[in-house]
Parts: sequence; C-alpha cells; structure tokens
Amino acid sequence: MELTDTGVGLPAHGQSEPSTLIKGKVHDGIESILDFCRGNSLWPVTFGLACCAIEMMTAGSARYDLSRFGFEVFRPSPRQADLMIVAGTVTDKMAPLLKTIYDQMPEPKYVLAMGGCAVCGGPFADSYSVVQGVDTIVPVDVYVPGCPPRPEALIDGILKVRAMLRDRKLKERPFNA
Amino acid sequence: MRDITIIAAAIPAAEVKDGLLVVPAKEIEGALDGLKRLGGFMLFDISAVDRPTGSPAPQPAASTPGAAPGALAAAASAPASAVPGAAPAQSSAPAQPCFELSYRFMDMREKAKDVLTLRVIIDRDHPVVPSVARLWPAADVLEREVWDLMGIEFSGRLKQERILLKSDFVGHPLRKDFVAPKRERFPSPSWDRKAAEGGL
Amino acid sequence: MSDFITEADGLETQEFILNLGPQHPSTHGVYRARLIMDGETVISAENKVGYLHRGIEKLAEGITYAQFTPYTTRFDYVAGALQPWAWCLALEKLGNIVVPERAEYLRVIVGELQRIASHLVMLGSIVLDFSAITPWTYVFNAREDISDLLEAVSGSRLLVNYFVNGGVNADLPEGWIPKVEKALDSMLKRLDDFDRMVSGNEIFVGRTKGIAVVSAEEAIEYGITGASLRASGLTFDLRKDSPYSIYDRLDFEVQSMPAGDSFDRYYVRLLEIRESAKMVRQALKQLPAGDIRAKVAKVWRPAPGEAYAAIEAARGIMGYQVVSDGTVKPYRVHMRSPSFCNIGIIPAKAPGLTLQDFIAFIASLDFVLGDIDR
Ligand code: SF4
Repeated sequence: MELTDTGVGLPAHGQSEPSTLIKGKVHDGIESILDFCRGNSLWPVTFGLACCAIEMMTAGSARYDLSRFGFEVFRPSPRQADLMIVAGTVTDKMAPLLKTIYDQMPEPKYVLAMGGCAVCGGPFADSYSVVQGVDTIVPVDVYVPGCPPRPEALIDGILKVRAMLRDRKLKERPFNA
Repeated sequence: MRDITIIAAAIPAAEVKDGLLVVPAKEIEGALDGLKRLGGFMLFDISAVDRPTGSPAPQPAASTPGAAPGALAAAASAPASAVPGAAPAQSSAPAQPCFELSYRFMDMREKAKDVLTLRVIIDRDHPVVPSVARLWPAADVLEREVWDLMGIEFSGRLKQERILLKSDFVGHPLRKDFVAPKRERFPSPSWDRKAAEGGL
Repeated sequence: MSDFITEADGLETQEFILNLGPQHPSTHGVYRARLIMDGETVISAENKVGYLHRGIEKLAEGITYAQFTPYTTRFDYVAGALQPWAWCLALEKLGNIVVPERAEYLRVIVGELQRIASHLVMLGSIVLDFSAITPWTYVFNAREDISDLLEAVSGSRLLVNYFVNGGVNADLPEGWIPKVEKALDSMLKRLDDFDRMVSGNEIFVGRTKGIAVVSAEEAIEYGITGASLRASGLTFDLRKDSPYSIYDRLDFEVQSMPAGDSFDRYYVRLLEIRESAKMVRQALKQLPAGDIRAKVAKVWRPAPGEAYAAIEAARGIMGYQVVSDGTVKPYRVHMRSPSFCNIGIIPAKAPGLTLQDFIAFIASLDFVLGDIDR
C-alpha cells in the first residue's frame, strides 16, 4: 500500500504535505502508529562528551539494561540514529561538530540534553570556552538535569521522549535546524 | 632525589632558593642543557604564573631571606616531604611585571622521588624562552599548552599552534588581564517551539 | 603480497587523510587523531585535542578554595575520587594542616576502591574496542558494586566528592565494611573470569602483543607516568617512592610488566586491581578510630605562598600547583594531568601500525579526555 507521496511508507516529519490520497485522519492515524513504533525503538547516536557519558554507558550495561525498552542500539554513525543524547560539556570548539552531527541525522530526530552542562553549561557556565547549554545550537526535546544524572534519570528521560511521541507532542519542528 | 645543592652546583648560574632551583632568564638554555647532561631527570610538568604590575604579589612568609645559609641547608636536607612544602614563593616580591615559569622534574635515578622545580622569571612584555622539546619530547605538548593559555613563546620549535583552544581564539585566557568575551544566551530554537505549541 | 599484485592491477594504495574522532566510538571521548593512511597502515598521526577544554584553571581564580574542590572530580571523571586528593594535599601543605589518622586511612580506602573502578573501565573499554561486548558487561557489573560503595560514603556514584581540605567529608556508614569485603570478593571472582576470557584470547593477543612497544627510556623521555610507564618495566610509583598519606604502612608490591607493548599496558592494570584490593583490605584492618577532619576555618585564608603536591592517580602523576595571595580565592591553580602527557607518545609510535592496532594502542594508553583537556 502506498502511504505517502514519498512512496516508501515513512512520512518524514517536517514535511507536512500529505498526499492527496491520504489526508486528515487517515494520515494522522498512520503517523501515530509509526510514532508508537518509533518510541519503542529509539536508536541513540553515541555522543559521549564528558563525565555524563560514563553514566550513559552504565545505563546500557547489565544492571540498568537500557535494552529492556529497546533503546540500547547505540549507533556510532549519526546517519543510523534518531536520538541524540548530548552527554557532557559542549565547548566552543565542539559546537560546530555537534551541529554537523545533528544535521547528518535523518528526520525524524530528537535531542536529549543530559546533565547540567548540556542543559545550561552547568558548573562551567562562566567559562570562556563553554557553550551555555546545547539548546543554543540545536533544538532540545527533553532535559535531564543532574551532575551527572543517575542512569535511572537518563532512562526516565528517554521514556519521556517515548511518551511524547505517543502523545504526538513532538509533531513538527517550526524550523529545520 | 639527588641533593639539590649538588644539582645546583652542576648547573651554570643556578642557585637554590626556598627549595627551588632558580635560574636567570638569560641562562635558561644552558641550565636545561646542564640538567639534561646530568641525566635521569624526567620532565613532567611546565607551568607559568602571571604576575602583572599591581597584582597582589605574595609576601614573604615566616622564613626571612636574610638567614640564607642555614635556611638553604635546611631546605636542601629536608626529607622527601615532596616538594617545597608550603614554600614561601619568591622571597622578594617581583617589582617588574613578569611570568614565573616552572619546569618540574622527577629524578628517575634514585629510588626516593621528589619533585625538582626549576624556576625562571621572564619578562612579561617579551615572553620568549628557548624550547626544550629537543631535549625532552615531553615538553612538546606542555609548551604548546603554556603558549596557548599563557602566551609564553617557546623559540626554536617546529610548530607553535594552539592545542586546547580553537585556532581563531583571541588572547591567552590565563593572563590576568584577559577578559572573556561576553556571551549572549540567544533565544534557542527549542524555546520557540515551546512557545508555538503552548509548552510541552 | 606485492609478488602477485602489480600496479597494473589497479590495486595500489594511495595516501589519504583520515580523521578519527572527535565523535568516534573507540576514541573514548572527544579525542581526535588526524591520521595519514596508506591503505590500512598509518603513516603519521597527529593529536588534536581541546574539544573538552573547559577553562577550569581560570574559573578557579574566581571561586574560593572550598568551592573548587568539587570541580576537581570533573576532570578525570572515570577516577573521580582520586582527583581531589592532589588538590587537598596541596592545600594542606599551603596551610600546614595535619590530617587526622583515620581520615588518611579513609582516603586510602576510597582512593584505592576508585582506582579499581577506574581500571575496570579501562579493561572493559579496551575489549569493547575489539567488539567484545560480553567481557565488558562483566567488568561493568563489578564496577557497579564499587560504585554502590562509593555512593554510600559520598552520596555520588561517579563524581565522588569525598575528600575535603583537612580530611574527608563523612564517616563510614553503618555496615559498610562487610559490604566492601563482599564486593571485593565478587569483583575479584569476576576479574578472574574476565582474565580467563580475554587475556588468552587469540584475537586479543594477536592485536596487542608486540604492538606499539614503548621502551623504558622512551617512556621517561615522553613523560609517561602511571600504569603505562610501569608496563615498560619500570617500578615507578609515587605511592612507594614518595609515600604520601599512609601508603608507607601498607604492604604492597608495585606491579610492572617487562615488554611495554599494548598487551602489557592492559595486563599491568589487571594486576594493579588485585594489588589495590589487597591494600583496601589491609587498610580496613588497620583503620583506627578518631576524627575524620582537621579543623579548617569556614572562610579559609592561607598565608601567601605556593605549594605543589603530586599523587599517583589512576592514570599517572596528578599534580596541583596552588599559588595563594592571602585572600579567600586562589591566585593561580595549575593542574598537571597524566593523560595530557601520556598521549604525547602517540605520534611517535603510530607510524607503521594498522588502523585496528592503532585503536588498540590508544585504548591501552587509557586516557580520559577530561583529564587531557581540563
Ligand atoms: S553535568 Fe556534571 S557530570 Fe555531566 S558533563 Fe557536566 S560536569 Fe560532567
């Protein structure tokens, strides 16, 4: 069955022009099914920057077992991922690279800011070389505060992304950053 | 560690002050060469302190520089209480704006280890010292860091580029007169979306 | 190979530039190497660091001594508890503070537990770079038990802020000591499993034995310290050679390995874990009663002066230079971090390695980016 005019069945977020065939409710319904599925298999890109990355690794290890929820497929390549967990301090030197990696991720994509540093600069907010929060560079969907947040907090954050997907709150981005 | 007075005797123009080996800026090349020739020293740290005019230069602490010979002997024979304990820094506050550059060594020949500090005071307006990367390859990264953050130039190096900061960074942040550029926390894209959707 | 592949076949290789990192799963953080490759062989390598430079030495000049203490754990975040030790030692020298005996013991216990946890991460991540995931879960599980212990004393799993100027933050919680014994037992059992699983593994040995050999002289020239130096046959360890705290009262051997290759750098850490476990047990036996913190004024103003202190941290010599001008804030703080010097050897040793051996080599150096960039 042809779902959209892209022809491959995955309506891309941000392209809000549904085909003439499927409009309104049908389109919405299919998208919500897809979002439901996406929410159960978010693939994060490995993007460890600092201390918080160690807790991110721990979340994937046996005790916390992120794979219970289907989120354990950490992808080294941004092109295969749909969730970016920014775990750590973003510096001025790193910022352009972070933006590049974000741009390389295919839509739909979500960003989770983990730890005080990624949320607002954290303990290093006053420094001459630290970006005051990753949301000044890329749009952020979920903030997980803490220094570092516990693995449970990270898992909760990812579950929030899932919940938002299910509630269809992450509809469209007003801009394509 | 080998006795600091013996080391000082083997190095041209070096004197022992508060447990540090102090060399005048002009003689630094010869001094480091001499230390290398003594052999067995591992260079493991280079650091610099900025002392511009008007900065609160440290006051000499309890020990007076007047009691030189006795104090020297005491400092030299002090047991391996790692480094000049709370050594009063420079006995006399430097009047000129300057940088205090310290090279730190471990003596790998002796079993008991201690930190040997070689201190040189350099002119703040013209901060250039010869590079020691040809003697100790470890100095390569250390010198680059000092140049990057403090702006002390090491002459005779192949490459002098920033190591920690972006290549287009202006200034040397650890200098006392460095002022960080003001940051605007500009409205972020995600705030926009929140506003558009009435909050998430 | 060149016997039957000629240039005419079109299979000749060409030099190209490969950027490894800063976002790469096997660089353990935001390390970047600029490699010039010929096919699979590295021709030259250049370190590019600074992607995590947080400007901490400048920040320190704007806050008080006590406020800076928690910052110190944020650099070598894999071995968080050990970092403030050097800082506190420097402050104690600056202010002539005598740390109570019990506090010294607690420092050694927590410090060695942290060293174990840190080395476990190293063991796990080097095998992870060979795509071996099972051993990684073993060591991370073992590390979890230790994280729990550290959390019980300090309140934090990862960045353990237990050391303060003049002693330690809190006394041991009730029932902690038997838990340590239990955790060490199970950790050592897991470690033996890990050892059996990995150390004899043919792929692992093939990719680490005889790779990137660093001789003792070279290691000294390049200022390498810590376990990476001890893998080159030297027994240089500040805990033994310039004993701080109460290390002179413990009976332990400095572990070293003779060859200086990637395998030895890996194996010496495994040996050190066992040694550290021994030290923790001894310290727990000798643990005296008493105060846990010397009296230090809330608003602490050390006399003007300067102090330098160095400790044997998990990755090598961690040193702090603190210059005071008599106010509540430090005039200048300089950190000497072990990883920063240890990576200096990479450009010298990389040429001639294949890419996968290069990955094993940098993993065996066990650097932490927070420690390099500060
Ligand atoms: S929030 Fe805290 S733990 Fe996380 S990266 Fe920043 S300093 Fe490290």
